[in-house]
Amino acid sequence: MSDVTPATPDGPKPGIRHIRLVIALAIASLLGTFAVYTAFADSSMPVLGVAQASTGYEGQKVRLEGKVTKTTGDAADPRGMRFTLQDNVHSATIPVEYRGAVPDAYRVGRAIVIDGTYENGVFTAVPDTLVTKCPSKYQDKATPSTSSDSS
Amino acid sequence: MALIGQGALILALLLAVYAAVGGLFAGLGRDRRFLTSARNALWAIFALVVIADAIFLYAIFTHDFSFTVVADTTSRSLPVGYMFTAWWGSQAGSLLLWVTILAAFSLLALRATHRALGELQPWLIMILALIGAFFLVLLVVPASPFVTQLAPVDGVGLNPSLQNPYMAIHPPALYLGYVGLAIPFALAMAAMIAGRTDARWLIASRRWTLAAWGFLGIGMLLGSHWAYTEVGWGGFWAWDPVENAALMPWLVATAFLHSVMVQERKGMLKVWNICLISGAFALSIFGTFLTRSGILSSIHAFVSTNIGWYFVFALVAIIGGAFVLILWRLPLLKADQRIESLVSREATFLFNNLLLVGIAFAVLWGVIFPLVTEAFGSVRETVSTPFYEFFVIVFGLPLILLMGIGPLIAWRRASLKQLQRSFLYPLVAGLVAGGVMIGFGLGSSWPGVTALSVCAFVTVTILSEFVRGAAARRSIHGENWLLALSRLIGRNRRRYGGYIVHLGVILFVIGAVGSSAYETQTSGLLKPGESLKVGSNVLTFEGVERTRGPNFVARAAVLNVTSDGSNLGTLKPAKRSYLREQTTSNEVAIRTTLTGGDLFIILDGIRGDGAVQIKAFYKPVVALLWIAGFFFVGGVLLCVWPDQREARRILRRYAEEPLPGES
Repeated sequence: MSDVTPATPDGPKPGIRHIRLVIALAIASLLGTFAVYTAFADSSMPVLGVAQASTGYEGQKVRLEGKVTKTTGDAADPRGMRFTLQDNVHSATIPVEYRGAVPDAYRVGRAIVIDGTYENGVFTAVPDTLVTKCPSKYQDKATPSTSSDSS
Repeated sequence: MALIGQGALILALLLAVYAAVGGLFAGLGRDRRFLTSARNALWAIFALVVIADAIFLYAIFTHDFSFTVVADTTSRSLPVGYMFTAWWGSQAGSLLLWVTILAAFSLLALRATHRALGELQPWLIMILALIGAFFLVLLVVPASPFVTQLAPVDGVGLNPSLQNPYMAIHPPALYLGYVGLAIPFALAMAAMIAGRTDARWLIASRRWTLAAWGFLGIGMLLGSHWAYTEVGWGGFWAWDPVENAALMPWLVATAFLHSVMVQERKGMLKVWNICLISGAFALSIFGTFLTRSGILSSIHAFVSTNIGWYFVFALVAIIGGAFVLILWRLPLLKADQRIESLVSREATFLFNNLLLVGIAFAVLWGVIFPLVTEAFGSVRETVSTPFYEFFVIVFGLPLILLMGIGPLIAWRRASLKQLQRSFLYPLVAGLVAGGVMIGFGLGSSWPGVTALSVCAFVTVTILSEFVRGAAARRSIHGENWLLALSRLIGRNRRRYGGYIVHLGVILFVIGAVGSSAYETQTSGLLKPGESLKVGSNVLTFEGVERTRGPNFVARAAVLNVTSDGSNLGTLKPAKRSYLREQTTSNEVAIRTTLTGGDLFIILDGIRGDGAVQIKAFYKPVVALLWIAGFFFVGGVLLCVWPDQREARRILRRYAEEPLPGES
């Protein structure tokens, strides 16, 4: 406490200044942890559309968004599943290799999100990262349910 | 019918605007007629919303597919039990539920506060009516449940993931939590507008905050259990934006529940408390926004329509309004006392608050990170589980430690001698627990050993509080242990209820750490007769079984389970195909052992030749996650249970305490 200068008649007591300093340091260390982690831990990855993935992101781990247009094989099989992903806006497509869990809502026509790396013309997905986006069947007002659709 | 429903909502909206204006006039002019009229308007809003609910539910139960929302979320083959869940299966339906709960809570809050906080009533009505008006605008303009169409023969059906008993209770629990936070927020704003910034609004809002916080907590736990048993990837929390949406207000409300004790006791942290409750409510609106706007990619955001800007407006209004009011009333919000020592109860509460808000901020940053990077950079970036886990561990571990330290430290200033006396045994318990775990070969995960040792330390501090209190009663009143303990808890419900919640948190942490740090996982392709080993269990595949449900067909892998030579029966992980919804769903098989561990089996695929791809986990002590829920609910109930003695004490304090500006 000897390094704390005596309080002015109106200022806080030395003990209170000391406490303020520790609280300020505590806040600073929380923010510091935050800043250091976000700056150095390489904790984020780009979210790309199919059209962007092949332009400058080759070899880099990315999260890919797109719509499934063709699917063959079985993700549970050691040989894995292969499907084609189309850009949500453009006509660009990309072949994807995937192994692991397949969400219940996965099928051709569904928008999905998947992590992986694009190299030599193929997107190799990280196992178990396939996530289907909001099932269009439950939201797409452009294709309302019709009376004939009972199968 | 739809017209009547829409008309009821429009009328309710007009009345909400009227009630807000009436509240404003009553507050400014202190004219009781405006107050009575505005209060009656709230009653009328409640009645109109109930009429809208009744029409909406009638349409669901009578398969009236001329209601677009009903056709989009139900079908004729949907079991009756799940028709209720269709209420909140759609955006419009869930917003209708929001308004219904708000209308009911508003009336209850007015009734609960009209005697002790009569001067706040006009402002309380105004704030609550404004919140109600916002949601009614959403229901009338962009998300009406009463939009009609040419009725199809059958509806689309309810998302199979929502056809689960947990979905009947998890979303309403979360909504009760989200909406419940509106009441303490409205009380805080009303207190500031009225210039009544003493602890009265805080005391009046305590039960509301506790109840809302309890509902959010139990809603999240039920959601986790749903994810664990139904979504079936083997975990219980995926750091999905919609899960985070409920976690953020819960964390900030947790901070609030602790820091209010400092204001009640020492008259400190007044501005901080108003910031916390405003933040918690803003985050609950943000949570509803995330769930309902579909702004971030998420498996939960089932619907995406363009209601985002309405929510942005509401968030700006809440945060901006609270900020302006705090600035206006800053002179009335000065602390009565200051923290005198860092080794004091109030200081531990302060650090607990910093850590809780720190975690909430990290989660918020993770959630909005894609939006921020998209707005300020060329490409959208996202963070995933490791980011969240890092902050939960780094900020969470000291938080748990504080949970053990805080209750044993005296207010104002603690002496070294007192610290030694209080912490000797808990410290020894923590070290012994760590040593025993390493001795039993659990040293493979250092974070695991550290967390579990801290849990042992905290458990002993909490239990020692019960023992010390009961022993004191025994020596003073000569009661037996059981009577002493029950009277101790009964007469200090808030304190011991809090400890019981703390015990629940410790059990949750042990369950979460134990089941993730010491999990065994294996997978394999099995032909009939082949086996797979997971932990000490051997799974032998016997064949595929086909069954039929009310609206699905299922194919299950029949697996015989043996452990150390004894037969434990069969488990049947399955894949269900929902006919009307044209989708499949994974049904995991779970067997809970006597030690609380789970054998958790997923059927990943069935090949044409009859072989099945199986993924199997053994998760030790995972049952503690769910047992923790009972402690949580029990503790919260104990805290919120009406207490006549406490009510009398508070009324006495109301009478004695000078109002701000009068001291």
